[in-house]
Order: sequence, then structure tokens, then C-alpha cells
Amino acid sequence: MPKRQFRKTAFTALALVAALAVSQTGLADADHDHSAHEGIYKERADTMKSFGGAAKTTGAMLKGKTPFDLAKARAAGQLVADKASTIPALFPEGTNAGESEALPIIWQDWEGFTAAAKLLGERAGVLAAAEDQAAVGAAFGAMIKACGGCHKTYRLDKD
Amino acid sequence: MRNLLFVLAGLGLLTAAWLFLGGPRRAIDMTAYEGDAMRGAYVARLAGCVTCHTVPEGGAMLAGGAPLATPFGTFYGPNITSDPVHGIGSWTGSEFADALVNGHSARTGHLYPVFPYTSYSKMTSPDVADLWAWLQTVEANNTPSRPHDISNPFLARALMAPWKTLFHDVQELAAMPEQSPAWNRGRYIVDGIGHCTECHTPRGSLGVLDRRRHLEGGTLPPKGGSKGEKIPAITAEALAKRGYARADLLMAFRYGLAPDGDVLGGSMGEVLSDQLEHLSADDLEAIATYLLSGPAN
Repeated sequence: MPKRQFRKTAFTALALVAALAVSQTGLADADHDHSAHEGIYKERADTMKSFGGAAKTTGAMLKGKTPFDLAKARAAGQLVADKASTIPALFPEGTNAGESEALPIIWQDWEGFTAAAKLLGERAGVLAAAEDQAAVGAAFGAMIKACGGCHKTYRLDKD
Repeated sequence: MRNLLFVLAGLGLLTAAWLFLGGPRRAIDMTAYEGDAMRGAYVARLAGCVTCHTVPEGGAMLAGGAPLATPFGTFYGPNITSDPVHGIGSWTGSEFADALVNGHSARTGHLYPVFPYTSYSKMTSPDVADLWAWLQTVEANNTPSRPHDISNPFLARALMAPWKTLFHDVQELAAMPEQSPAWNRGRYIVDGIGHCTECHTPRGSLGVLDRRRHLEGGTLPPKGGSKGEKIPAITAEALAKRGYARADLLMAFRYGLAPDGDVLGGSMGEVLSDQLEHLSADDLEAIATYLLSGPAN
């Protein structure tokens, strides 16, 4: 037993040293790249989360879970309309490492991807200008389908 | 000597399995129903034919589909337009019914269960007849079907007979009178024609659905050079956990919006636009009723 334990400890120590060595080697470069990636991944996630928040609030109204509030629904549309144009910049080529759900087809079909982002912006604009609950319902449905159209092709659904 | 006996016994058993040649079949008398093509167009949406038999975003309707990766190889939904050579235009109604519910083609023999006859076998005979009536009206397209990309097609095809004998249940779903009509309709869609269960129930090593873990979620192999897709559980319990009540499910079916504000994509995105989006409000309600109640087993 002790012999086994010693081996385990020695192995762990060796692994640690190796890991340290590797991390030191490319420190300057890797660090730079990594922070840039982290930045874009985080920015992307934050943007998508803000869309999710807008969708959730408006969806809850339309499901009758919360009272209908035209101003809030229009604000949700405005938020998405404003940020939709930033989507292409949030997906620099090859940024689908690690836990990212971005599919490589984004960069193989960049034209389609940017068109999908543009469509989202247009449909969100319609929601932002909706005059009553019926118009909100229709515009919201169309906007959500634009979200889904993009997720269907360009996103890996992990859950 | 003893070993030899074992081998002989084994061979005997194997041959016996083959003799069953795919197990029992359900016979559908296609002359007994007059298929309604209009209704059949709706049945086709319920059955989700388009998703596998049409290339997404602009492929010719039912002229063959995108690759479907499985642990057994990559399959391509064949051309099922009315083209007599490349489609199924020269098939008879009975041949079509045999393929749909028994997984047997008069041309190629036993079919692989990526074509979900394991679920379509639950289809009512009128639905089969209506679907056939509609399929015959689909514009012919002469795109040849792409061969499946599997390592040993001959062996795989031969193995389908014993596989079906063992695992293919051709019985229609017996109505459960103690449950509501909506519940029964929902079950017919989820476990039958709509074949939700084919992806949302995990599979064992032989590709057989693990029915004890009904709707507890599955996996799809990697797609587009990326990681595999995890198919979520949709049992009543799992749905409740993720915040789905009836109104949320209906919103998800109609638009893809999940209770947490996410919008469903991936393969479910295809199911939404090819299948669920076209269903009647009553059928979506029925699916919700069935899923939220949990299956009665």
C-alpha cells in the first residue's frame, strides 16, 4: 500500500511540474490569446444572456404569467435590435474552443450567419415598434423564430 | 468434443433466429381505405418525414436528406418523391405500408431502424393510407439516393433480420380508456408517429431504445466537426424541473422559446420548423397533456 501511495504522490508531483513548465513556456503569448478569447467568449455569453432575459420577460407576459406591459415588450425588442448588429463581431473565426457551443459552420457559411443576425435585428425592430398586445405577440414570435433559425444551424445544443 | 457441441448449438440458434426473418409483421390492407392526400400532407408533418428526407434550407422536397451520423455509420435519408426510378413512384401501397410499419422493403430487404419504423409501426392504418396518398402527389425528383456510409453494408443488412425479430414490436398502441382522448392522442404522437421517443429515450449498445428509461434523454453523435449533441429528458419530472408548465411547453412547440429565455436549436430546431410548427393547436395540446402527465407504465 505505501509503495502504491508513493507512486501516486510522485506521479502527481511530476504532473504538476510538467504542467507548470508548459504554462511557463508560452506564457506571454498564451496569456494574451487566452484573455482575448475569454473576453470575446464572455462578451458573447453576456449578449446572449441579455437576449434571453428579454425573451423570458416578454414570453412570460404572453403566457399570461405576468401582466402585459407594452413598454417592457418594446424595450425588449429595442435591446435585441440594438445588439443584433454586434453579433458578427462576437464570433471571430475559430472561437469555438472548450465549452463553446458555436459550430464551425459559422465561418464556413459566414454570409448566412451574418444574414441571420441581420434578420434578428430587423424583427426585433418590429417588436420595438409594436403598438398593442396582438402586434407584440406576432412580432415576438417572429423574433424568437429568428433566434431559433440561427441556433438551429450554427449552435450545438448541449441541453 | 464438448466445445464442438457448443459451437453447433450456437450455430443452430443463430440459424433459427434468421429463420424468423425479421419477426412478425403487421398486415395493412391498403385497399380497405381510400387515402386522403390532403390529410396525408398533415400526417407527413406529424411523422416528420421532411427532416430526414430533405436537405435543410432549400433542398428539393423529400428528394433525399442530409447526413445522419450514428454509432453504426452515416446514413442518408433516401429520395422518396414520386420519381419511378430514384424515388418510390413505382411502389405499391402495400409495399409502402410494409416499409413503414414492418421495416421491410421489397427492393432492398430489411431496413435499418434509423428509419424509425419502430415508431411508425404504431401508426393507424388510415394514417398510413393518407400518407401514401399524399406521397404519390409529391413532385418527382430524379436525384439518386446517396448510399449509406457504413463499414459492412452486406453484413449489416443481413443482421437486420434477427435484430427485428428480437427488437421490433409491430403492435399498434392499445388505447388506454382510463386516460383522456388528448392523452391517448399525445401518446400516439410522442411514442408513435411523431417518434419523439427515438431521440429522447437513451439507446443501448445494439441501438435498441431502453424503454425502461422512457424519455429520459439521449445523445446524438458529433455533427459538423463539433461535439455531440445531448438530447434532454422530457419526462414529466424533468420538464417540471426545467420550469415547463403547459403554457411553456406550447410556447416552446410554437416558437422554440424555453422557460429560461433560451431558444431551442440544433436538431430540435429542425423538428420545430419541419414538424411541430405545422401541427394543429389540438395536437400540440395533446402532446403537452401526455408529456406533463407522465406515461402510465
